[in-house]
This record gives sequence, C-alpha cells and structure tokens, in this order.
Amino acid sequence: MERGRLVVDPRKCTGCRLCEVACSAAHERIFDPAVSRVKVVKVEPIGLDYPSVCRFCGKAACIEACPVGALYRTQSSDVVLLKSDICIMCGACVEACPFGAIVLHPRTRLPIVCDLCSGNPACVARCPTEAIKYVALREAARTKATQSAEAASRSVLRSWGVKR
Amino acid sequence: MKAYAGKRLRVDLSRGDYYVEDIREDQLKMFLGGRGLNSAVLFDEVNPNVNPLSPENVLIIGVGPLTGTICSGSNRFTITAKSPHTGILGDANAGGFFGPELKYAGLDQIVIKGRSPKPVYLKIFDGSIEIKDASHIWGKDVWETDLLLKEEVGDSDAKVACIGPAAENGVTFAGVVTSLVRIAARTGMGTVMASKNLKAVVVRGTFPVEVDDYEAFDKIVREIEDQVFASPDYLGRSTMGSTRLVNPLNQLGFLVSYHFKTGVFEGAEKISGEALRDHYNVKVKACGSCPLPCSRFYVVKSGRFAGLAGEGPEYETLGSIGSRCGIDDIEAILKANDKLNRYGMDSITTGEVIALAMECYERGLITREELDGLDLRWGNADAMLTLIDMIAYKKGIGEKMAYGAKKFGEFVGKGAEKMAAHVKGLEIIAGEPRGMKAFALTYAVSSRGADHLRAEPMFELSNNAELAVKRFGAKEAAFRLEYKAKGRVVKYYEECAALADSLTMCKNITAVLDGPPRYYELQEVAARLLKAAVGWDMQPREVLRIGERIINVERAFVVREGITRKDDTLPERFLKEPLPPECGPSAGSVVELEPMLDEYYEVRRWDKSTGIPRRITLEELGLKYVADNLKSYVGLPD
Repeated sequence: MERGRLVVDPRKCTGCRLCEVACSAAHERIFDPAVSRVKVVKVEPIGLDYPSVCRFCGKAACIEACPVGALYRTQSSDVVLLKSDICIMCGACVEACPFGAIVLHPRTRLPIVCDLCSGNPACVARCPTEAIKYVALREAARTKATQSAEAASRSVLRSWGVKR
Repeated sequence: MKAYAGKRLRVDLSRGDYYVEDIREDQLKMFLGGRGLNSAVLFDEVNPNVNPLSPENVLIIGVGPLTGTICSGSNRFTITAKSPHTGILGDANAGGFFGPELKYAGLDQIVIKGRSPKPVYLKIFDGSIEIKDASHIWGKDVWETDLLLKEEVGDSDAKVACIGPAAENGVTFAGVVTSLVRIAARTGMGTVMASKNLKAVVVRGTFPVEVDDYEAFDKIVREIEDQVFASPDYLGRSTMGSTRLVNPLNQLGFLVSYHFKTGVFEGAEKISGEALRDHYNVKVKACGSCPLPCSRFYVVKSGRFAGLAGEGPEYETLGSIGSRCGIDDIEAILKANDKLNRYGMDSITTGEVIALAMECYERGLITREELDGLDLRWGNADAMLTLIDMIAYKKGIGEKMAYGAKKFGEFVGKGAEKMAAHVKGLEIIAGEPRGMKAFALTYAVSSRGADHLRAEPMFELSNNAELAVKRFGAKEAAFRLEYKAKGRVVKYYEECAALADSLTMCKNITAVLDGPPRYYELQEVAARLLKAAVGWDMQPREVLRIGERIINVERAFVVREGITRKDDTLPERFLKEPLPPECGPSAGSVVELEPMLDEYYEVRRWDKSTGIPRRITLEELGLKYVADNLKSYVGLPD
C-alpha cells in the first residue's frame, strides 16, 4: 500500500492553529507553535489561512542540501529523519526547502522535520474542520479526479436526469 | 508553578524605561490572571484622584494560566485601566492570537504608566524589550498600522495590538485592535493608550507553555472538545457565530429596534446571520486553539461596496448599527463594521449614539441644521456612514457624539438625557433588557457599566425548570421574562464570567460547556484544569470564590469612585414603558429592577441600602486590605 501524506484544504482551514500546538504537544509535551512542524500561514487582509506542511518530496531538497549527511531516509519510510549527533545546525535544509516546511528549533537549533507522528499525525487528529488530512496521495488524486469528472460531466448527468 | 510565565513587565513611558518582575504565586492564587489580576492591580495602583487621561492612569494588559495552551478558547487577553468614557473601572478583552503570543514571549501581564513625550510603540520579542519611535505611524488607521509594524519588525508572525485614529483624536470609546478586526472595544481602552502616546504593542514569542500534568490536562481538553462538538448549538455557532441571534431574537420580540422603541424589526431577515451566510461569507474563522469557529470572512462581490472584504461582523454590530438605527442595508452595515475596525471604535457605543441622535431627530429635539445637514431619519444608512467618519475625526456634530450617548443626551437636553441607553455611562448592548430580566440585572450591576459579558446569563433562556430548581432553588431562573431568582442567577454567572475572563477561556466555550449534553459547571472544569495545568489543589467551591473575589475587588474599585446602589439602575423607559403589543411573547414586559437588586445584594452579602460590600464579606474573601483601604473613602458597613 502506498504510504500516506498530509493534504490541506485552505477553504476549510479556520486559522485556529490547533495543529501547531498539537504538534508541539505531541513531540515535546509543551505548547509552543515555534517548534511545530506545521505552520499555518495567515494573510489576514485577504482571509487566507493555509497550513504549510512537509510534502515528503521524492527528491528531497533538504536531504540534498545537507552538507554533512545528517538528513536521510530509510527504505521503508517517506519521512525525512535526522542524525542529531552529526547535524551542525547550519540551516542549509531550511534554506533549501521550497515550501518553507522546515525551521530550526529555537532552543536546540536542530532542524524540525515532520515525522508524521509514526502514522497518526497529531495535527490531523486535532483539526476541527478536516482542513488537514492524512491520506495516500493516490487516493487524494482519485478524489480530485472524481470531483472534476463530475463537474465536467454535468450536462451529461443532466441529460440522464441525475441530480448532483 | 506551571502554565504561567510568572512575569510582569512594568513600563514607565514618561521615563522611557521598564523592568520585569516576578508575580507572586499568592496573588495569582487569589486573582488567577487576565481580568482578575488586572482589576486587582488597578485597585492597588489607581485611586479616585487619578484622571483617566493623565499619565498617572495605568494601562494593564493581562493573560491567564490557560492562555497559549491547547485548551479550547484559551486565546483572550484583557486590557484594563480607569475608563475615560465612564470614569470608573474600564476593561475590554479580545480573542485572536495576541494573548497567546504574549505568553510565548514570557509574560503574563504588562503594566504601563506615564506618558511618552512622543509617539512610541512597545516591541517585545521573547526576552528583549524595546520602546521604539512611532511618529511615522501616528495617524495611520488600524490596518495600515498592523501591516506596517509587521514589516518594520521584520516578522510576519508578530502580533500587533494597536490603536487607530479614533483613539488618537480623543473619541472616548476607542478600542485596542489585534489581527485587524479583533477589538477590545469597550470603555475606551484605546483612548487611554493614545493618552500615553502609545500607538501599539508588538509581540513575538517562542517560549513554551508547560503544564504540570500533561496527560491529565490533555484528557480534560479532549472532554471539552467532545462537549463542543456534541452541543446542539455547534452547527449554528460554527456557521454563523453570534450573528445567528438576529432572527430568533426578532421572532421572540426583543431585537433592539428603532432605539428601543420596539423589539421587532421588519428588516431583520435582511441583516440576519442567514443572509450573511448565504450571500457574503466565504469561510469560517477561529481564534487561537479554538475548535468552534464562530467568526466568518466575508466578501462583497458587487454593488457600491464591491471588493469590501474582512472578518465579522458580530451580532452586536448588526443589532447596534442595524436594527437599533432601523437600518436594513446589510452592505452598509458591513461597510460600517469595516470603518469601525479601521478607526478602532466600539460598534455598540457608536450604534447607540447614532440611534439616539436619530430618535432625537425624529422627535424634533435636534434639527437638520444642528446635524450639519444630515437627514437623520430612521434607516438612513448613508447618514450613518457619514456620522462614523465625523465621530472618528470629531468633525461637526461628530464632536458632540464622540463622548458617547450620556454626554450627547446631555448636549441635546429636552429629555434626551433620559433617552440615552446607558448604565454608569456605558451604552447598553443590542439586547433588549425588557426581554431578558437577568441580562437587565447584569447591565445594572456590572462593574464596567451596561454590559452583558460580565455574566452572560444565557441560562435564563434555557427553559430548563428542573436544572433551575437544582441550581438556584426556583424554576423561574430558567425563564427570561421572570424576575424571581435572577439575583442568584446573576451572582453565579458573574463569578463564572470572572473565571472565564481570568483563566482565560472564551465565553462562547463556557456557554457551550454550561449546556447539553453534559451540563458542566464551570468551577468544576476550572478546578480540574488548574490542577492539571498549574498543579494547584483547589475544590470547585474555592475556584468559584476566586470569581467572587474578583467581583468584590471590582465593586470596591467602583464604590471608591463613588458608585452606590442609586447608580445600579437602568434608563427609566425600561422600568416603566412596556414593550409594545407587536413584540409577541415579550409584549407588555418591563424590568422589575428593585426586587432583583434586593435579592442580588443579599446573596452578594453587600449592604442592601447602599450596595457597598460589607467588611465581613471582603474579609472572608481574603480582602481585608481592600476593606481597610475602602474605609478611608466611604462608610463601610460591617
């Protein structure tokens, strides 16, 4: 089975940042958005709330950018792992990530990378509106494909007398 | 002592310096934080000789032990000072993200005194504090200020609490705004901030909030979330927020309309939460750590205000700018809401002063010439929008309206002073007192003047006779038009409100906790939260007494300012003029204030004839120092 990833919907995101505090709580038992792996981007004048998350890139810029090989992946997992003992806290991974999904920890200075909470992401569990979902990418694509197929076939469906 | 930052920042703007001090645990145990701790500091540091707009007044910003945690609705901050609008205790609170950020920056409270020789803003980034020049942003509106300051400090995650032009121009009901739209609006806290030449407080923090027992805390918070999602109110609250109230209040005959002339408004449907939901809202929004998104982002897509977009409005704006003024033009109300946010003005007071002017005009007490040519008939939305600009900049008649309804009524005279809908100088909300008796009593006795959030006794709309008997010993407590037992209802919910404002927890969450399916009592939930978060062992009864203590220290403050029973009243029309026949279920109702007051003082153990707290009451609450202080100002009953 294909491994899951985080899929976000800005139409549903209320901007409450429960995902951020839930992330910090799940990893360190503290409440502190500064150490969250999820970051809710807020552009207040236009009402935008967008949970920015790790995209688990197949060709991961963070891993490639690391000058000491501290970031790596195993065969069995999509998540990027950190060898904290060799990390030199230079921030190259932060600069490299095209999505701004990595930050340095304000106290340890180590990069904070999403680990999907071993398969039960706290951000997803705590989101009150399902604005962040944990799904297989193939499944997310199929949902979108179905929606778009229905939208594109509206006139056909109407001619059949089907109401959607 | 977990959950708290344990620190208070003291700023003297006259001297341009500051220091950070520890907050004593015994003081936190007595007053919790937020509003409670702010009120305690205000009592200690501001005496009756202090002019609210002088450097001696203190401006206090506070958060509570829950602020910044994952607990539902734990995002609010309270801002407190002696009010330039009423001359007594002033405070206001707002949600959003400023409160949590203050905690993450390592502070529970900021106490600001003095007056800077030039405009400044306060920059608090983790442990680093700076007083920075704000000359270049003085005069800018709230939106411009917020965005400019985020750019200037180079951090888009910084949270800004600022004032707009209304405060700078000395409008006495100007608020402090965060996140562009979340305004701590009432009693003129922005005006006090302006008097100190303080344009904004900019905060950014990365410190963690830790709790004493994480597992226990998490368990209680999940229970709270379960109750929120299971509440029968969830759907209405999470799609329309407070705006859902317009239609039902109108149907029950107590939607404030035409400046309290009646409780029904024929244009209610047009300005309802449903109208906003169906035609303007594009998504729902929430404050920090809140699973109940009661705010909404709207976009006006066509018409003369095409392109207008923002968050809100709340029910209070629809009721105060809308039905109270007879205005059914929803787009004009959205425009007004936007103007009020940008100017930084209280929509309740603005709506009341405009509605009062309209009634004066309709009755011929003020002429079109005196109104600078404005045809201020009921429902004139354009005149309303013009007046908002004139008030914010004190132009023409706007100058006379910039000090609120009481002063404007006195200016007009000829009986208008009795028509002004205020208590102790603070304007009544868009909740018709004759339609809700416990709310009416709340307006009369609240420490900041006419206000519903000091108790918000929604219980009287529950019709739950069984629970009413269990909690208050009388079934009348659960019925809005009854006056019996309402003294006890208001006492209990005042204490709950004080706890909510001090923990801090939003009253939209505490209201949902108080209902089906689980009917939590707030003091029980609060005791468990305080045990898990801070590590304090307190019985629910002791926790409720914190609320009672806060009410008493606030009462002592206003009594010291000269308030007694005679001020705990309502405008005469609510006591004498029954709601007219078209008000259906509410028709014929007046407020039976005196018997409610008698019962209230009795259960409060305050002197019945004066409304002054008795010495023994204060001493039993650990407020001997308050009693001793009060004794040198007023005759203190034993």
